[in-house]
Amino acid sequence: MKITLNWLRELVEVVLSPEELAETLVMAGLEVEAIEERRPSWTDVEIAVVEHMAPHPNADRLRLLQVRRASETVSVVCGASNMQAGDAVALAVPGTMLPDGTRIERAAIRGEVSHGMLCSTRELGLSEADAGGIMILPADAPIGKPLVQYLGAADTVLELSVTPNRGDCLSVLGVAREVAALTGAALRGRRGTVAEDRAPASKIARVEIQAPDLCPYYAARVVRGLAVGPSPLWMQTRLAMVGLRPISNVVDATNYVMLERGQPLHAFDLHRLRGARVNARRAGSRQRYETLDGQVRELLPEDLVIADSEGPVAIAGIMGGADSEIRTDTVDVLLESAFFTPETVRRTARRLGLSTDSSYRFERGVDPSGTRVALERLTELIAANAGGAVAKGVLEERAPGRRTRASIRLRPARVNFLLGTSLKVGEMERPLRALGATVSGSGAEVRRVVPPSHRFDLLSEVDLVEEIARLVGYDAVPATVPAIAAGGPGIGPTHQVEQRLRERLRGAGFDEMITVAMVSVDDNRDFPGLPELTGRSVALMNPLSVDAAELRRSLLPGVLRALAENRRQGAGHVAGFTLGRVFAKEADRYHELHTLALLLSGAWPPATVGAATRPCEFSDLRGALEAVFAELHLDAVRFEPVGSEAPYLHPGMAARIDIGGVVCGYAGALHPNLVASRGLDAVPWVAELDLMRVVQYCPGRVIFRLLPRFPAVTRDIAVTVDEQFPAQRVLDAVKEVGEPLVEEVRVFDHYTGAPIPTGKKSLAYTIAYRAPNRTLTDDEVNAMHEQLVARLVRQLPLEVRR
Amino acid sequence: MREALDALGAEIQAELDGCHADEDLERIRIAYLGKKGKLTEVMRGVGALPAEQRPAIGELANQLKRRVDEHIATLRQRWTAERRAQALASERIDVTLPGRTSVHGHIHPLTTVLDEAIGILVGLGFSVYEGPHIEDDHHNFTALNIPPDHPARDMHDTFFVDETHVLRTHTSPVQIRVMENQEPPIAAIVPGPVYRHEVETVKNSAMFHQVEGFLVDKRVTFGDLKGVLGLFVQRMFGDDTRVRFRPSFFPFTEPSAEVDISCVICRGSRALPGGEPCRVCKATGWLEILGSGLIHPEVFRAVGYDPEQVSGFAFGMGVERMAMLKYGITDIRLFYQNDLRFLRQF
Repeated sequence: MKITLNWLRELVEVVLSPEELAETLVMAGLEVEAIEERRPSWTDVEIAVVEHMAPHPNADRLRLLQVRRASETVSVVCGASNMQAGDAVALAVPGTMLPDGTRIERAAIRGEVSHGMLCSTRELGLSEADAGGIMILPADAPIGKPLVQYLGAADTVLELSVTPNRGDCLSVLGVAREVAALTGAALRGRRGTVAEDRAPASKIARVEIQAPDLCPYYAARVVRGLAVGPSPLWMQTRLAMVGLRPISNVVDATNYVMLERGQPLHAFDLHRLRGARVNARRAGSRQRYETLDGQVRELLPEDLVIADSEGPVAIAGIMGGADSEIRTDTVDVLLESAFFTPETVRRTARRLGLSTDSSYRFERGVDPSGTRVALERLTELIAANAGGAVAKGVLEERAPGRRTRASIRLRPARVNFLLGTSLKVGEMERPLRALGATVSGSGAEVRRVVPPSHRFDLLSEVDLVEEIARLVGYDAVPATVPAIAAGGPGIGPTHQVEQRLRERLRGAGFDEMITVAMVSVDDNRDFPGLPELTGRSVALMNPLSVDAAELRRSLLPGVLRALAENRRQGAGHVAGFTLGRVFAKEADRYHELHTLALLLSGAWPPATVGAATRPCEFSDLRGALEAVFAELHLDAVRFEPVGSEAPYLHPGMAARIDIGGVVCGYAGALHPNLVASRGLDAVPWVAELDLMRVVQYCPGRVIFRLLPRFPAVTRDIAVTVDEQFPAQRVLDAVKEVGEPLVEEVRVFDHYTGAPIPTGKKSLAYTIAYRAPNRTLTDDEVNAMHEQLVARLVRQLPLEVRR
Repeated sequence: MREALDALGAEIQAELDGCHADEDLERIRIAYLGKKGKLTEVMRGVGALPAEQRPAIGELANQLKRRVDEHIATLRQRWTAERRAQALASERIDVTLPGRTSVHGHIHPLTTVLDEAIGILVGLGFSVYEGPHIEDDHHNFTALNIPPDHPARDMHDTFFVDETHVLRTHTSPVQIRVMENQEPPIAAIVPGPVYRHEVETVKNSAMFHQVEGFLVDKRVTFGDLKGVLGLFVQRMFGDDTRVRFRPSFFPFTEPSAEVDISCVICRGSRALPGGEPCRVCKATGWLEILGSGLIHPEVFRAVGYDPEQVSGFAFGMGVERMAMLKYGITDIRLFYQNDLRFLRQF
């Protein structure tokens, strides 16, 4: 919201500089987003009157004028012809600098001396278009007065950001009240006087409230015989300064008073109100209705409308109707100032998706004690600006019952308890009174506080505590550091695992990525996620775009998008990982899994001097995963061939990762179909793991094992097998034997090519034997090993290489 | 015997004088001092001498042996030193060639900042909690004193997944979840992504990160809020960071405070060294960094706490904003584009 400093000064004394004022408001919770100085260059333009006008003796298209200034009459040569003798005009005297940089000098034009220039609104930067000649000012414009002052064109605009609780600050008056409370300055009262004629308004129009629960008070005035036209220039200037487009003297006045006093107002064309009556009632039925912005809106039975004898003429507190709006030929008007409850306006405005200056204020609460005052101010301005006769009396309807504001109990001890201060009771009462609250009670006892009618936000004791703190100043509250006695997991296992995992992957050459949770429907179709994530994809009701229509089931689309983008940027080697949530919905329950995704693409390792690179392989990806598992002391991890279990992976180049016999994730080459459809130029290796499963299987602590006292003896075995034979089978078979003296068995070589026949491969294993209580002899080990080998040969399709 | 020793001594001396290589030295040592060496033989013969000659001759033989040992050791040392000096004079590598490093990756800057904040707060006694990203209306709004149809809902542009579920618009619903599940005292922080229905711009992202924190105990004051956040801010942004608290509005806290720190770029002076106004703080000298306040009694009531028996404070901050200030990043979208040229700077 924008206000101007001069406008503010009309309502309260301001002795502070704009910067000091802004600082004061900011530190009281009213954020000042910008301070904008409006200082026109043409301070020397003054109001003058045309005394005499004659053709220029030496030029057909020019005129020679005698113009009266405050102290003298001067001759001015002018090109325009829209003025006549007696008109008040804007005279730029020699020395004036116009906005376009032109400097006005005394000059002889075709032999006649011109002591300045008469200005148009466009030349002064007051309008975009040429209004057809020079600016003609109202007849009562005071001669000699600088035009800048007359128009109020030099001012300071403050842009304020008002929090939703402070609807009372959505007006110049509201800010003035804050300034008064903060600086101790007095508000400047302004009682307008409305000159009424004899005709009683009650004979001309009628006002009725049929929905007193939604509209407790409705007031209206009738003005007849006015002339719709442009507003006075000072009002147009001021409205433009705060960002409102001037429309007409009637509409501008409603906006002006709303901005000044915070009360939204509406003007109806009285002749377009059928039955010359308005009624605040529920719409009653579902119906279509055209608002003055030309949109057809659907009303529901519960919506509060202002209706004439036939139907709605306004959606109460939100927008008027097209039928009864003010037009250039309007002569009689009914001016509305009413109190609509915040709830009804909010409900309807929200449903219609329609937020207006009026609804914005009503939703946040409009001071019910200001309704009538605003109506008087509006009437005064309209009578002054548009003429017409004000009918006698205010048309008023009020819901039955007396509305009094309940008092709030304030315990002074509670204030100090919550703030950690030692304020005296008087120091608490003073700011509350400054805000306009009444405070009763004495001594150290409980106070009863009745907030002023405009403060909708002050409902409970803690609201008052905030007001006291706000006005005393937050700086006045001493900072203390409490002893925190709460237990809790500290950093917690999940976060700790995440941190270790990130560090380990970083050490393995992976860059951390963060991707957004919204993906396309296609992304979720292609990447259904881990098998645990059953159920439908979660669609957003109001997505920002089709590319972000659903919540991801997998982290992979995100990292693959990053891969494609980085490849386009020329990245050769991409190793990335990301941690995040994935989502699905089953029946009425939403599932969220915490997963880890890995991505590896390009040459590995990234080229360094003297080291050969090669395209990365599954073993690189698996190596990174193994590094993570080792970091977390997770054993019992198995990589199993999967076939088509994970449809987004190449069926022959993918593994399921089991931990403790439970599926925890998948790793492998991206399916060739997806490589193509995702615009990738090389096959990336990807993996996704359920992080919570990993955390669950992480040993809580590492337990020390005694160091072996006797040496281990190793024996190797090399076998030739079919190329399809999984190396893991030998490891499993050795473990199955259950020989207690076998300490470890692992693969140490893998080879294809001559002399191994085509279609076969050679695998080499090393087995370590150890006894806990003695040194094994060679004979013992040889016997054991031979038995083991014999058994492998019996059980598995392999040939031992000797 | 004495003459034989002298002659042997002279012979060894001659041999050593003519010796220039380690192998020769070893050969000489074996020839004279080895098991079957000449001097060894002589010394073995000492035992056969008459008893009165034995001490003198024995002593002479021992002296000769010590002399030869020392001489050999000296030569060895000298030659080793000479060889080392030669090597030092000639061996050269090119230290300007790039290193053959093991590859190393990078932690995302948001994670770094988040972890820093978490580290500080955990150090102050807070514990990390998490909650769902798909939240029900009750936890995201109503229980936080934002009833349906309240204007404060306008502060949150919300993604809906169904009539009653939203993508959490802040981390505050986890306050409710933690308090529903345990009794005070509670000192909790909640890091994580949040979602707002906002079109992507340089400043806005539909997903961003917050860290929420709250402390609930028998008596937690507004002064405690100032103290704890003051400490946090100084550890996060440096000891010379000034902090100010100014009134604001959040439905779930009262009194509410916006926390500003002195601008990290102009250090609060409003201008850059050249005199140009500081653009980061819009020449105000202050940066808004945290929202905070005492937990609203309505929030306590929503979780079944008695606001007369407990009090607490809560605060929340945007991780992206902190990271942007810390690293001078001007476009929030860079955090989610995962451009390696960006990621690898951190």
